[in-house]
Amino acid sequence: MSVSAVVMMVVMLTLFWGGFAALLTLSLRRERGGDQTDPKEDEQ
Amino acid sequence: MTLPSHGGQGAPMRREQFTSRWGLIASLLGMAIGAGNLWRFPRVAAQNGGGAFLIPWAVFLFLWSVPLMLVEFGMGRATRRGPIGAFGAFLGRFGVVPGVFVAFCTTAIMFYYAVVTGWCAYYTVALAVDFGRVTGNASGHWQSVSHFSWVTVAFHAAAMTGAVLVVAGGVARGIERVNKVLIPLLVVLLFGAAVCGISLPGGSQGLEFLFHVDMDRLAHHKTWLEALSQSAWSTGAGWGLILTYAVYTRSKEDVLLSSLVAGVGNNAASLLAAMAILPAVFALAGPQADKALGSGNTGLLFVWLPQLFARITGGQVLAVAFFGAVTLAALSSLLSMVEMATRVIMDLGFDRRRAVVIIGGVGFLAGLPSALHLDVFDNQDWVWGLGLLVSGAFFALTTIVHGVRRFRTDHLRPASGAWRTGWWFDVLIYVAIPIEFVAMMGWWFYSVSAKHDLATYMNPAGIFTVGTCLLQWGLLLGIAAVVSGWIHRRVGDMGLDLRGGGVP
Repeated sequence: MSVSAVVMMVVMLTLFWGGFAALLTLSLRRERGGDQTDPKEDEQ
Repeated sequence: MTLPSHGGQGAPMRREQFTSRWGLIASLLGMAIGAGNLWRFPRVAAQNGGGAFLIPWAVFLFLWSVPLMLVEFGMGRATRRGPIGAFGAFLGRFGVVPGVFVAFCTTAIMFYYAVVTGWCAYYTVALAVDFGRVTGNASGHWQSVSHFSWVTVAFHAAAMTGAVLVVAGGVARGIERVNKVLIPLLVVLLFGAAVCGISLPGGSQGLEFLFHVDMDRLAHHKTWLEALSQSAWSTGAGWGLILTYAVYTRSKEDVLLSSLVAGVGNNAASLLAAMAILPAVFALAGPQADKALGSGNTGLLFVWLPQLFARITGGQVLAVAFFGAVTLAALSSLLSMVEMATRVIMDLGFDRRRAVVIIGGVGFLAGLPSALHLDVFDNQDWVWGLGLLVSGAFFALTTIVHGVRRFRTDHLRPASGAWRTGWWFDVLIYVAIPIEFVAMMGWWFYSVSAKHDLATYMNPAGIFTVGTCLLQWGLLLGIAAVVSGWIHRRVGDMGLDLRGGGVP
């Protein structure tokens, strides 16, 4: 593989798989931190 | 907010909702990651310059998909209704017309998508049971399966039945529970397939082809338009599916973060699928790689890949794992389509079980023509695939009519500590989405004109013609206009109390 293709692969994997892992972790941490309402508040 | 919580005419009752953030995200990923990620993205990326395609594809995730996902989240969460009720609530009686278009467009895709799910499931089973028969004459086998085959009808029925059973279980006990299993399993299977593909002798050629940036291709308008179209079709933005799942989110859900997780996760899965397929194609097809990639979605998946798997030791295991992954991806997307259609029927006053049985029966019958003949399948894929772009435009237009800034402040207001949707959202809805929509529609209609004379171009009975699109869309909009008053009365009071907004 050429150097440019390797660089592009690293960039894309970092952007999408790294980004996905980071965003998912942040999202689940925030939920544990209590950023949502108590489920009872959403019941009608 | 004065809207009823569960069905247009039913008494208020406990609203269904996702039980956890992971449940919501898994369901959003299940919705977004479908057969298109596995059979279309690798092929289109390879045919449009590989690395040169990936750059605009990444850009358009944020210029088309994410803003439309936010609009859907906002509308679903504010109205707690499916697409027809939500559009009606934002636009009044005549809003029912675009609502019906969006809902039917995705439902029409559901009809033939159940057939695709059935094909994938059939190939998984057939490759496991009788590998030699499927791969020995792959082209002939595919012809026998795709034309008037009882096997296809049986697996279409099975796919529809499976989806109905899951959706009948409800959001938390059905959709959420199943997606929590399907999505991790899908990622494991894709990862295994990618490792196997890359480790084949010559597999690195596929990676080189996927990631090499050809600057000439990057400067070509076709690369950008194909990337935009792929992004629009792949993430599920503008289909009404995210809107439907948003109905079941908590009031203070972190909308922007969840949209980003789903969008970025969808692209991550596409990338992994391409890293599984392209190395395998280049390693095993050699000089015929271009021919394989040019054989279309079904040609690549059902004709070429089984033949290629037959050329390697342990190919049967790899083939079953790969087709199993495609089946899981297709099923998880089918669930979201069945749920959307079911939500629409529930908004008309039916309970979930009765609504999903109606959708299952209609879905099976309406999918039969596509199951029996590939020409019908191709026509429906063409008409309603392009229709999805119109659906996306309807979402943006609704937001513009409502007032983009007002929509953002009222319905995308974040919970404490959550990411804020800023002024960039206004720019994307007012400027980027309309330009992108006109460019995509113009491009696709122009691309057809290069292949036909004017009479064929406008032929309403053609498979890939502009005439067939205009006829079917026109019929749908006409019928929607006629029944809009009835639906408006049936769904109930569609007034939206804008003072309250979507987030109490």
